[in-house]
Amino acid sequence: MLLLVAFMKQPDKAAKVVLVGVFIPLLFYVITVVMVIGALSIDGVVMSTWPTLELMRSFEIPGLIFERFESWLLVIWIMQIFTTFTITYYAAALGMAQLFKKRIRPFVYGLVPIIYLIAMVPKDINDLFKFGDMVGNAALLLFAVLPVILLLVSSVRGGKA
Amino acid sequence: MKHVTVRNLLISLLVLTLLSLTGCWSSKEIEDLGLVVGTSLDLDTQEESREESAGQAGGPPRRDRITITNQFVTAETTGKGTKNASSQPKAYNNVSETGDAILPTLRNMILRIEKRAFDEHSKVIIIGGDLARTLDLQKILDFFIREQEMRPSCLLLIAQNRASQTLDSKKPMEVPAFKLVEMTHGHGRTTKILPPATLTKIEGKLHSGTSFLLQNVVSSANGDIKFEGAAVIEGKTRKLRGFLNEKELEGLTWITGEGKGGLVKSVDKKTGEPIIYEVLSMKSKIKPRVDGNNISFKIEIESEGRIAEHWVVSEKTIETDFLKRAEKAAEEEVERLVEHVLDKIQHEYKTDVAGFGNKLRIAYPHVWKAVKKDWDQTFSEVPIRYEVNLTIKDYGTADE
Repeated sequence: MLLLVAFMKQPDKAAKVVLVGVFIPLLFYVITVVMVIGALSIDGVVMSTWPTLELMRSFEIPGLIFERFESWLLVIWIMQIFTTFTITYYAAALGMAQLFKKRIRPFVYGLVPIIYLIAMVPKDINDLFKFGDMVGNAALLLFAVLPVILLLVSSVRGGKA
Repeated sequence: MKHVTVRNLLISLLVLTLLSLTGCWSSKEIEDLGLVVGTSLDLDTQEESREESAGQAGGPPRRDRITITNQFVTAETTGKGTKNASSQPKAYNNVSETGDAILPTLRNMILRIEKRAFDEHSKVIIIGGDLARTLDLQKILDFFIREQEMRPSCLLLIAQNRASQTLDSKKPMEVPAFKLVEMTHGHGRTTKILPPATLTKIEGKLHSGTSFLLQNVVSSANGDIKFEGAAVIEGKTRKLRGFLNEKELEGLTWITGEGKGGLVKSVDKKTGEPIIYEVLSMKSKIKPRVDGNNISFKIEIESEGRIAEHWVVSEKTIETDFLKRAEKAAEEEVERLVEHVLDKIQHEYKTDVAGFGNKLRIAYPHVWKAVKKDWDQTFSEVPIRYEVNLTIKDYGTADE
């Protein structure tokens, strides 16, 4: 999100765009959490590995063309994964290209095997969950703590903002 | 120019490959599937097989053995066999197998049927009373909750006698599993049927250790099935504690306010003739109160309805006096039902199946933390007051 701001045509609207962009998914996630906990109760949520999917599977509506809805949820879910993936993928390639001052192409292709290897690292599903948590924490460090430090550094060195 | 045609060719090749990729990955031919629509679980009664397994030296210790019956729909269900009425094949096929854990037993059914058992369309699980009494429900249901093929929308019922009997029917074109599911829809029109309990709902309750109710099915020798009251599952042991009969279940539905419709049969005091009150809406509020260490509850039941039938010929429903009297009589009847079931669940079964604990948890989370562990015991000594308020809104198309 911070990366795209750098390429905006009207950077002065950045704050508004970022806020709207954060607010919409936030709304959806809050609704999802309330629905899932409301339907399964906290004890039920604790017990299931995939609570949202469990909720979608837990009811059937006869007479509405489709009785079951989990496949639709999964379709949208995969679309969501695809969009987030493309953005982060592009950002990673772009970042590397700028870092090494090279063209972006070789990095776009070069990242493919690396991502594949990283995806193979978690051995079982518990590893995968731990890995997910780690990535989340790393994101917090990279996008919340690091920019602040960099900002401090730049102000100490007296560079132009 | 040439460059462009090569590129076009390559693009069309890619598109064509896509077409062939849409194929049948992980497809299952429907003819090869045995669609499971219902499963019943019973405690095994055959003593010989028990001894046999106990006699094996070095084997695992003897456990209670479970008889599982899967109900498959056969090809005839789809309407092929309707023409020749003389030799009508049955619409279902029941297969039983016995073992001490669920999945190995289910897999052993492969030895008996040619089709691949397919659970995606399973609608109902029926657990026999004696099995629910001896084994922890969480253990019995673990496989069904864990398995991805099983849907969490599957219903759960308790059978007072053998569960496999409820999956039997004398009528050839009837599939008992479907019948049971359809029968739970009757919840909307009577207070004697519980709201359908799906695996999802049960899962949380089992985990949190609250007591709850499951619909009870009784099968008679001539192949009839009937919903009769409810089974009480004790939260701590997660085993069957006992049964509530129809009257008691009615009272309980009034307490929880989960009913959508139903009747109250009250007796007119003056004449001794019945007046039938039909429920149009039902609402109940359970209000917990805490004074120091004393917990108490107050139930406020409110309902609107109408007079659906009355045998008091001498009175006219058009008179407000009579309506008030009928309201009073119906209120007293509901109070009697509530009192009776409260006495039963508090003093005989000592289980909180009406959700009083949950209301306490919401209103007084700190108190709940302290009493949570031994809640069913605490609940059995808690004073509960109740207030019933019925309103008769109309009296149908006859004002006599």
